[in-house]
Amino acid sequence: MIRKLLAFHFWLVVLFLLAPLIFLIPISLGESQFLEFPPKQLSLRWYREFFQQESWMEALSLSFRVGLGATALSVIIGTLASVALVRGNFPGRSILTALFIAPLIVPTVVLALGLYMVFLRWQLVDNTLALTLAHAVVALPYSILLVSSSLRSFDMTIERAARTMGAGPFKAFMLITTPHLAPSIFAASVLSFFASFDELIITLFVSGGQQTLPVRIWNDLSLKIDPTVPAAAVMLTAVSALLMLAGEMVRRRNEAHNQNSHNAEE
Amino acid sequence: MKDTGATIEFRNVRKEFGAFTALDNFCLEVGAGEFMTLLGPSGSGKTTALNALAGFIDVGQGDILIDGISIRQTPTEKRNIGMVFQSYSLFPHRNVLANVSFPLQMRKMHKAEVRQRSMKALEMVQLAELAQRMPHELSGGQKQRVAIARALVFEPRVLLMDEPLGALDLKLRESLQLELKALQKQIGSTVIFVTHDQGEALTLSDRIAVMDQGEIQQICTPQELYDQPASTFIANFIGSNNILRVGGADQHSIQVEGLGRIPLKPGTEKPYAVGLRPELIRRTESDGVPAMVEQTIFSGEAIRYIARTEDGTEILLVEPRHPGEAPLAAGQSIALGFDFENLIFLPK
Repeated sequence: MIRKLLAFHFWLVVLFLLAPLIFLIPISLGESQFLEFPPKQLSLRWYREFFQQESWMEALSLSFRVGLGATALSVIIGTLASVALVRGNFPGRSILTALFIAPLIVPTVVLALGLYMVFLRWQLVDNTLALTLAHAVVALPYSILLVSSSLRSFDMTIERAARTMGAGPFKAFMLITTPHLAPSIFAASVLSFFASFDELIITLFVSGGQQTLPVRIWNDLSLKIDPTVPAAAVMLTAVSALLMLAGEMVRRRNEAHNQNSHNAEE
Repeated sequence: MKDTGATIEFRNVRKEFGAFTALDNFCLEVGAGEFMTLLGPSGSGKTTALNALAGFIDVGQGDILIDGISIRQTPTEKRNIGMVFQSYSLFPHRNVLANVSFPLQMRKMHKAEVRQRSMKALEMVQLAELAQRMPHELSGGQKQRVAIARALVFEPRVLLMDEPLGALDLKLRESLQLELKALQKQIGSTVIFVTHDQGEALTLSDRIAVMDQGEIQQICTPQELYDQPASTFIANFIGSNNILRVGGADQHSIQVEGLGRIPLKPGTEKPYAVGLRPELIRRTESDGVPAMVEQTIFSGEAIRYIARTEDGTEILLVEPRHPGEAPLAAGQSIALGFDFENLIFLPK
């Protein structure tokens, strides 16, 4: 009885989570000018439309540029900050950690407003680099959380051993510690990229006239609704799912590897 | 034996961690090619001394010299010190050969020479055939052998070992001890070896420094340490011992619990306690200290008896086992014989 109830509950939750997709995919495949569910006729018309309209392509390109930039910043700064936060021994370390994680907890609107005011003052609104920086702020907590925990699990004496063998501090870190951090750095870059790629609110505040993909969708929705939006949304989802899957596979492979080494220990 | 080891000197080194004094005015001189063991319970400062020598921690006061030259300002990677850790510390993402090659690569040697030297080092620890394995595919003993090869491959003049055999089981530990000793003789590096295992210290060392609370309590050869421990702490720590309290004394003799009146050499001060090794007590027919066997412990090559003398003192004695001869049973009366010169007079 309980098992059946649990199974029912499970499928209910899955349905709830997948509901948007269940509607979106058929709508995006329709032929009509309007959002139509279920579609009377199937076609790829709106997907074609997406790739043929320059404004969509520009939005896509901006999203990628900002996303990659924010990812690079998030991973590099995040890894360096993790080294300081995990290994450093200075006053205010825990406060600094909290500060780095804050963008994950502070309401996005508040963060967006703050960034907007700063950007206005320094005339950074409508500046791609500044937008990238703003996205990096949102992505940074993921890098800090993932890389810190991986760094904490690394036996410091291994790096020390490398030092005794003639490797300077930087070399020892790059050659010996980084390979251990690689899977978490990869996971951090996937999450960072999506933190930026999906970001709407902050972008609306600080991007000025520039349109990233989510902003383009948002603007489209408030003017008119044509099925290019569902098509874009479906592709966005597909790309996300694929990258998340890749991230999960790396994580699993790494876990299996660790399992092996533990077994050999016994 | 090649003479390639460096001399090491700790000069009045002091190191504190908060309120805890790990090293207190620590002085130690190690000769070239010497195998020096720092022996002591955990928290006695032995690992701190090693870490200070390797450059992992900064010493608060004092100086450390290698070949008479201060290394306080020299970073770890320039000290040219080989080190083996209890946790093996192999590089998990490199195979055995790449692990052993690492120090040579850091020294920018030619590829061919790196390979040839690394393989030679692996042959020395009898692991040449496992060169392509990854660390997680090795057993504990194999891992530590790789770590030893890796620490020796660049022929450092100083080799530090921080409880290198601590994580291995007894049998493996004993065979690796002999291997280590032979390797050190062959290479000639000066070794500082840290352990809390007194048996290991006795087997391996040229000299042993017994440490407690950040200070050296006694420093001498293993034989001297065994025969003439400087304190009750050391007499108890090294091997097994009967520590007997000393009662009243006059100019010529002292009263020792269990043994009775013992003559005192003229000019000798009254000791705090007297030690008597259990293997130096023999059973005699008549003219010994009368005692009764309380417990018989069979330990393979020897038999240990716990006996109680008439004044209630517990005395441990060890006898080699004679095949075919039944050991004494509990309750049997015996007499204990010993020589005065085997008594250890402990000043504290």
